[in-house]
Amino acid sequence: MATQPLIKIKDGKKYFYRFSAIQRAQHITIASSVIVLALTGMPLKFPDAPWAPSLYALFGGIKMAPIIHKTAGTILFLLFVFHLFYIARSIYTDLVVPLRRKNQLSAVAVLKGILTHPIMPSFRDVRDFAAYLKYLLFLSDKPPEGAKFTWKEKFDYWAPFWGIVVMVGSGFIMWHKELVTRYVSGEIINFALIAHSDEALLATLFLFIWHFYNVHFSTSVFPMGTVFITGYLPEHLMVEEHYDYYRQVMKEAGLEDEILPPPGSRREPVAAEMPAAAPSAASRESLVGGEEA
Amino acid sequence: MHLITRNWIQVLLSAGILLFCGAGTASTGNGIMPDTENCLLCHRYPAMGRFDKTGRKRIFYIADELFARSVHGKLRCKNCHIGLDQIPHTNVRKVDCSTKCHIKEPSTGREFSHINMVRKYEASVHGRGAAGGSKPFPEDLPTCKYCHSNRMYNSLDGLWGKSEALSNETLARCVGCHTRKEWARNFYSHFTHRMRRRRTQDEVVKLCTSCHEDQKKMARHGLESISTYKDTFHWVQVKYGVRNAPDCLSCHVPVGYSTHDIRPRTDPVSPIHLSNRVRTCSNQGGVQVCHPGATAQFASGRVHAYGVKAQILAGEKVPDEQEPEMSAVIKRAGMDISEKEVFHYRVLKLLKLFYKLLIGGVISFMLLHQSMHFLRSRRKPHGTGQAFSGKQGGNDQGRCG
Repeated sequence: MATQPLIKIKDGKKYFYRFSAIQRAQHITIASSVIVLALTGMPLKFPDAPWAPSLYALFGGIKMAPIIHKTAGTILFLLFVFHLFYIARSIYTDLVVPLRRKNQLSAVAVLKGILTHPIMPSFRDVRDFAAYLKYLLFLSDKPPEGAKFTWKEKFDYWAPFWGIVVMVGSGFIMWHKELVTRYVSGEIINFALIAHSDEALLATLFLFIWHFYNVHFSTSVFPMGTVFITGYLPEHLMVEEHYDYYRQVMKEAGLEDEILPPPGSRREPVAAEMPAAAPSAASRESLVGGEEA
Repeated sequence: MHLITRNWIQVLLSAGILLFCGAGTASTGNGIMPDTENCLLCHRYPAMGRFDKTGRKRIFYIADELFARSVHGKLRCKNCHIGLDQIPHTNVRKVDCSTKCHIKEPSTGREFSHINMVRKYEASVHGRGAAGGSKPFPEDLPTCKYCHSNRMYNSLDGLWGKSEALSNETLARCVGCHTRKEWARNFYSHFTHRMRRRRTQDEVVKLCTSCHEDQKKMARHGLESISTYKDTFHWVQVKYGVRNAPDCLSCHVPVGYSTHDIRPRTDPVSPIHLSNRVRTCSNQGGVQVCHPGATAQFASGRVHAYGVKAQILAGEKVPDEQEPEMSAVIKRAGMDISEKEVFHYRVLKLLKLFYKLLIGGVISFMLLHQSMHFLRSRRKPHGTGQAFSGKQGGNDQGRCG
């Protein structure tokens, strides 16, 4: 993280660092495996649907598709395990080590650090959500000034987090039903089937309606947001979604005079004429990466 | 002359004698059993038929070549249709499959009959009971012909597939030694017929559900519809045409059992009786070994989801006392479903409800939000928002990194 500049400038436009390479790799893995899982799973949930047989045939039918499904499921499971290690490592390097250096290491301090991490739900989300509702209902012209992770993104993170636990767990029970029922009563298979199939429907609808809208179809990003590939978010989206965080990053970079007005504010003449990014201050070199060849 | 006034069939008969006296022997040339009873004299005419008292159309036409190729092609008409001595046939008895039909069963040399199967069947859950029986609504019980809707006219299906060419190739080898081709063909058909399943898995399910999905009919016998089978992976596999996918017979008539001898699940002989289930689930020795690692706990789970009976026991469905059919179901419900299973049913129900609410809530919230967001982003207040989505938004995608 330390090696990545928080702001990059390319063609006179600012881009803001959001996701590390390892995070993006995890996203690509979950995205591709979940798409494959949904495509090979839905024909089983809706075997009577007219599209089901041909979609299933696309994955090799009942001979191949279950193998593909189980492979993708295993990849998802391994990713989840990796992610847990990743979290543990992040807690250690970003929380435990600095605390130890300051000689303040204690269970309470670590727990506090975890709970105040930007991805954890907070009261601020409730406030932002209320402000956002007002904005959507035309009661206000100002959308909330978002933090590093908005309530939408927390939704995007925690819903699959819970979903993977349910899907992998119930999938494992059905896959290794003979093994599982050595230890648990047979009814668990019935419960697992319902959980797996309904949670899958929820997850798929969530992806297509919620996530795909936010990152593909929303007018601000159509046809596709690129942050999941580049790791950097363009300035106008940073302003729109994460204004609070944007202001903080700009201040840290010493670009206070280039901060754009908050979203929904009336444009002032000065702001209108302001160039998108003037390469003026020399002090920014420390935090801002220059244009890359 | 009084013959003519009595019945037109007799006219046909006399005309037939005059015109087609050679009909019976003519067929021997094709290797078809000679019609020594001379039934075809009349029954060879496709228009042969009438409407019976209930208005049902009956067809009495026999296509002799097709009949000769059927399972019963070697039998004479009167072997099964007893009492055809008068014309018109006023004293015909219904065909009884347990009748001895004067051909010899080669292993014992005794007269052949389906009586063994019929006896088994009578004692089974589908039969009337051994001693004539006194089951309620006997008209609901399947007769031999209900399931054995044999295509009378079997095609020459092969042992390894339905290719007629392949069958002819195999048959050609038989004829090398067994020179009477028609005999070889019959033997081959007889043999291969038993080497494979005549019905596909899907067809088996269709046959069983033709009664067992009929809620009213089932309720009269204290049973519930088995449409719940279609919620299982077993059915999905059948649906997708998996080889040896589990249909009704796979569990209810596994290897070593007879379809004619299906017992209620409370009968200790039944393959789905709790004491036999592990063996049934693992199906060792069957064409398909299904769950070789099955344990008693595994086998105790429910394959069919809970139906009406569980609903009644859980108090969700208050059966209408006016419905006489339901009383049998209520009586049986407590016997068939234990307290523990009712509890599991409740948990399942809660789980389903939880997901229904979750999916409904989350999805409607999301849809509502997205449409509001779309409307909002299209109608930003005048003079604002331009700096973010208008000026810069258009051409800065995918440029960096």
